[in-house]
Amino acid sequence: MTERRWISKVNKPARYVGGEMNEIIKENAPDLTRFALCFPDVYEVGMSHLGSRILYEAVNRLPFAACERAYAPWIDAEQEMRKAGERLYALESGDTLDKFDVLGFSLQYELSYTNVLLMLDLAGLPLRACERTEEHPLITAGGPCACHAEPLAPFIDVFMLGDGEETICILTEAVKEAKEKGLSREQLLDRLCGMEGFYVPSRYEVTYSETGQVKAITPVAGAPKSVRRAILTDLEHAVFPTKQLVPNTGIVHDRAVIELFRGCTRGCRFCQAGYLYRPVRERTVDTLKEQALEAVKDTGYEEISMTSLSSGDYPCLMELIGVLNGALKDKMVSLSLPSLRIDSFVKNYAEGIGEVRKSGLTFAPEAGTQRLRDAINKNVTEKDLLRTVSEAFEAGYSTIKLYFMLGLPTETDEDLLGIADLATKVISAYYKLPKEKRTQPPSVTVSVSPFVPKPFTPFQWEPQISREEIERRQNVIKQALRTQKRVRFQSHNAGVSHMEAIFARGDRRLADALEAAYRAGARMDGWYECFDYARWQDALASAGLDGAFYANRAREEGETFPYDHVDIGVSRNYLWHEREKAYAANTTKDCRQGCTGCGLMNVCGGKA
Amino acid sequence: MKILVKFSRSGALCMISHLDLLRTVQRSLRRAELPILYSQGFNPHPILSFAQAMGVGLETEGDYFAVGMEDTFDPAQFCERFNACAPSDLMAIAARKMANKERDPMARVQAARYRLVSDNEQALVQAAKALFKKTEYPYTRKTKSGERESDMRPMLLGLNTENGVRITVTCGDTNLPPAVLAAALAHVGGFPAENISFVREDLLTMINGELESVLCPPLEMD
Repeated sequence: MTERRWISKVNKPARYVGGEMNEIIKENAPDLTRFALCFPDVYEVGMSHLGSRILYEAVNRLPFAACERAYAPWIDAEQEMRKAGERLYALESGDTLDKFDVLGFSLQYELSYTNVLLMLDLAGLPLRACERTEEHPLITAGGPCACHAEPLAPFIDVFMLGDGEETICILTEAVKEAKEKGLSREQLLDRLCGMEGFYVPSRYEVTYSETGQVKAITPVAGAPKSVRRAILTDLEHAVFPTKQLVPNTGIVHDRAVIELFRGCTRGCRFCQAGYLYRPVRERTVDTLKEQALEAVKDTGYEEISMTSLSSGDYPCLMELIGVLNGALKDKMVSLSLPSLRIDSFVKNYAEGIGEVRKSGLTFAPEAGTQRLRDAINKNVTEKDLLRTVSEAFEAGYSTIKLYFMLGLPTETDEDLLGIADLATKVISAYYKLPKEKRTQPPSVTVSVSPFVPKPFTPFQWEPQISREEIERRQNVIKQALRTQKRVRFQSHNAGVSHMEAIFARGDRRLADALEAAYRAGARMDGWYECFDYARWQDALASAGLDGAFYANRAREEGETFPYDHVDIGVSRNYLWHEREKAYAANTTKDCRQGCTGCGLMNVCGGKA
Repeated sequence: MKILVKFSRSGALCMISHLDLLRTVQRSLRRAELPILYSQGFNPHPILSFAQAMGVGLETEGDYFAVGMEDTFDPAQFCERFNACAPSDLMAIAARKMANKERDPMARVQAARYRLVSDNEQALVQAAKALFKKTEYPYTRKTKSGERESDMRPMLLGLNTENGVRITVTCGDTNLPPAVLAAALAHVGGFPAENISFVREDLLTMINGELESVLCPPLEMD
């Protein structure tokens, strides 16, 4: 790597130098197709992302391609780079991003959109697709937000929708062929447009009604009426990296990972991932064991995480834990299990997982009363929670974190008081244990996030409550918890959630606000210390837009959504029906117990 | 038994903290599947200790760690197996079995030798000679408990200007960090401290009245 003297002047210089174990460096050759995976957040966040690890492996397995990595520099490094007149580069070769054939951005959350612009800008590339030429890399973006990233539409050449491991290889091969045959950018996009999983935003014209809603989305130049999300059918045999990158410096999730399954059958109505990653696809215990052992050997990690959207739902979990414990115990490797549901956590898991660190457990009841939990289809009961925390206290855990949302559809103050009540009961559960079974006194954190209605969920028609109302409701809970010394209350910035709601269901007109905010200094907006609500208000105003129109407005049943030309496979009728059930506080069963007719029967066969 | 390992770090690995380096070495040992010993107790960790903490940015050609290893292991195999599984910027250079009663390298280090490089070597040589000619050199030492006036001169042990500039300073209990040395040279020479870069060449210990590499085993041990 060429010497970049500014690196030694900034905080955490290890972010900017690469050189990790299992980094893949291929020798450059003129016929090599060069792909840079760009994660629009800092190194420690991007390096923790499993999807990026999988795609890094998938592209690098192609003999004709090389995949490198780039992350958004933190504020101090950006300033130093600008001072030195340097462009953003990929870590493997140190070559600047403008030398690559494709840049692929991972869109994990709306507030990282400004970092996409930051990375394009720092790479010396024009932000808008229409200002770029054949000289510039193809700009693509994937990840969950790609299915509704209309505010980014003018900046991206082609979005990749759905599971990425096959789509990204198809794209890379198409880029290689386009290079060989001398195809123009437009010809390349012609080829991709119409294939499953590829959405070319410039091939759709959007018109708006006088009242501001999307009137019509019209395909042009032979584009299909809608684009279907790519769905990987065979996870068992899909590419999975065991030679996972091992950073030299601490990152957010610093451990080896195996993926038990993709998708989730629970159908929580607020949860986008629950609809966007359907249907459930599992790996067998044999494959997972093999992958875990190889990952441990190849990484040297002392911890391996069994990840998925809801790991307690893996049907063979106890068997898997037994097998892994047996194989890994004398290697001093501990197992960890994220994303545990309240009703699937049982003492046995806690014991199976081991003797290592019994510090904290996190559960997400999401709402304070049974009525509201039924409305959002979070099918757990107070009894489940209290039984589980008792078991956890008995097993030696003392710190419990409880996640809730605030501002859910149909919520009243009674539901808010229910949050405080539940936290109090968790504390009491500890004191109900016989004295000899109590370990250290418990500490409970109640973390409450404002609800953000997300596309492709039953709540996509719902308004978000106003910022003032968010703050009032936060106060209701805070007051109710005032006398509880063992409960810590954690609330979230209402402005951040408001901006997230705007961009989640935003249309293309927001691109101007996004660019204006970026030009005014917005970046790293997911970090509280960088987020500036006033700057966003100015940006919206300069684009002539009203944030409340996007965030706080109830949609009509038949309204055209800005992302209506994206087909995730779950039918809109099903989602509307689920919304109606929410208002009646009727639950929908877990689809492992029988098909609920979401629209994906042709993929999963209706039997999960 | 314990094995003493001399190692170098360069490039990307210079940019990490001491704790990060510790983790990186641990994971390299584990990837190499070397028969390392773990501490007993609730939360076992490898028996591993470093001779000297290294600040972010420091390049080294001669630092040391001691690692517990099963008695059956042959230290001659260590470097090859470790290097096959370590990041390319981290390299084991030499390894030997530690004597039964040998103290951990941390307790043996008394000095460190640095090689200094500058765009203007002549100015650097002059500044070094001028600094060594002084009978005292007062400077402000930053410690955990605040700032303290101190004399640097007794910490400056040796200067060699043949074939580059090498300076030996005290290290270990009374440590003179290279950045502080660079600042002193820059002050004496009247040039910016950024113009000097340094590489730690070796850590030294007193054997029979001479400063020798920590790699040398202590006298009169089995």
